[in-house]
Amino acid sequence: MKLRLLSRRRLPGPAAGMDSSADRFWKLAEEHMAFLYSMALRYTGNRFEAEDLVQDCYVQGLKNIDQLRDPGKMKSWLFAILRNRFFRSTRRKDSFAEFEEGLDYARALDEAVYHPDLERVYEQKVESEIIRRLMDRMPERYRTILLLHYMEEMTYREIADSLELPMGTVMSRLARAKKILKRDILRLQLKERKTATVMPFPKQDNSPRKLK
Amino acid sequence: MNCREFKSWLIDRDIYDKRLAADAMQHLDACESCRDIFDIDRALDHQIRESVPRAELPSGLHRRVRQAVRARDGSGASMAGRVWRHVVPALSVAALLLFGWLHLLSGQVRTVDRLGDLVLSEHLNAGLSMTVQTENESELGGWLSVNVGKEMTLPDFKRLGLAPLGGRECRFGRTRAAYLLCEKNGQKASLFLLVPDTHGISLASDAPHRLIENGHQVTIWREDQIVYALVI
Repeated sequence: MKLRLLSRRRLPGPAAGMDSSADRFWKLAEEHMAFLYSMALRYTGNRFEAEDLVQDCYVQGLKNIDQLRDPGKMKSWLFAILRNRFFRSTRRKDSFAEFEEGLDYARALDEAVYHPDLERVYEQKVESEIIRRLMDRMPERYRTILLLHYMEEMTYREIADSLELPMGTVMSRLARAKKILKRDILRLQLKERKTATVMPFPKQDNSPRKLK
Repeated sequence: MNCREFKSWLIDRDIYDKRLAADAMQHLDACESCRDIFDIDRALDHQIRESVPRAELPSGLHRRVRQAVRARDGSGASMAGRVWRHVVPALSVAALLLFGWLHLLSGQVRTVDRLGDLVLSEHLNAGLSMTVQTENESELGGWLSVNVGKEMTLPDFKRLGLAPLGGRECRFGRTRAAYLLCEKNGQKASLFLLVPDTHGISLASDAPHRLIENGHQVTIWREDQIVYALVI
């Protein structure tokens, strides 16, 4: 292919092969994309919004990279950006007015463990989709902590950095969130088990009656 | 530790002192009913963990984000904070914008040099918001013919070494064009397709014309009635 050179102007640009700021940022940030996308998907509920949110998060990350003091905290720092961008754009934070916070997980455990048919409590698993729905119904302050704990297996310190919270707050919120979610799952398991063993009505009794 | 204390530890162990865990395990060894409670709790943990696996990364997202990061870097973000990397591109972009703005007043794009400056300015300044986001050529072609013009046809992306990512319409004064955001060897590439009859460019030959500006390469060529401009 014959190319015709129209003009050549000498303006300085980044040298070829140079390790640019984007390259350095990318080396640290790239590995966290699957985690950020998973969280974005949980927040937005659809793939397209999640993809946009992740892209926006990386662009904002590069733009504000000077604010990251410790490169080892890139993951939690990027997640903090993603979360702030999402809630700033949607203003959906903690709009769960009807959420029930009663903490009777201990009672639900008692009911399960003292039930005569304990084996069935183990067998009667609640579907993953239902568990996800139970989590989605929870206020953001609990839901995000649960996701970071169960999905990412983050330490208390990592969660605290990601959410910009004191570690004590993270520990108490996580304990509370677990109790609420486990209580709800256990209630469903016990309820399903009861439904499964309910007697048919009217009771079919084909045995011959004894006449006195 | 008794049963009541054990249960209290179990459901609140995130806030208890880690040292209590040893006491709890000791109690567990000796108490069958607490073992049942412990097993139920552990099974619930397992169920919850299984219900929230990491999502699989959609194909193309990695490349798209990489592209956006590179584009952001090219527009002046800097870790090292070198002055020239901020000021020189900013000044050249400003000059291009002024040039482009002055040119808009005249309506049509008429020369290859001017087209080169305009497409480069668009390449440097354009956001990554696209009307259509797809890597599928036939989807992109469908969008192009419906929204920009029936006569518009996509070039051979494979021959050009381009991977399309999306597109939108753009204008240079009276000249209408389609802007297709692409990737070439991991770099952002912008491909412009000028709508015939809206520009006044007459190319001297069918051979591609190349312009090198501020480290970017602009290639302009014609196929049938359509003028293409590629910026890398």
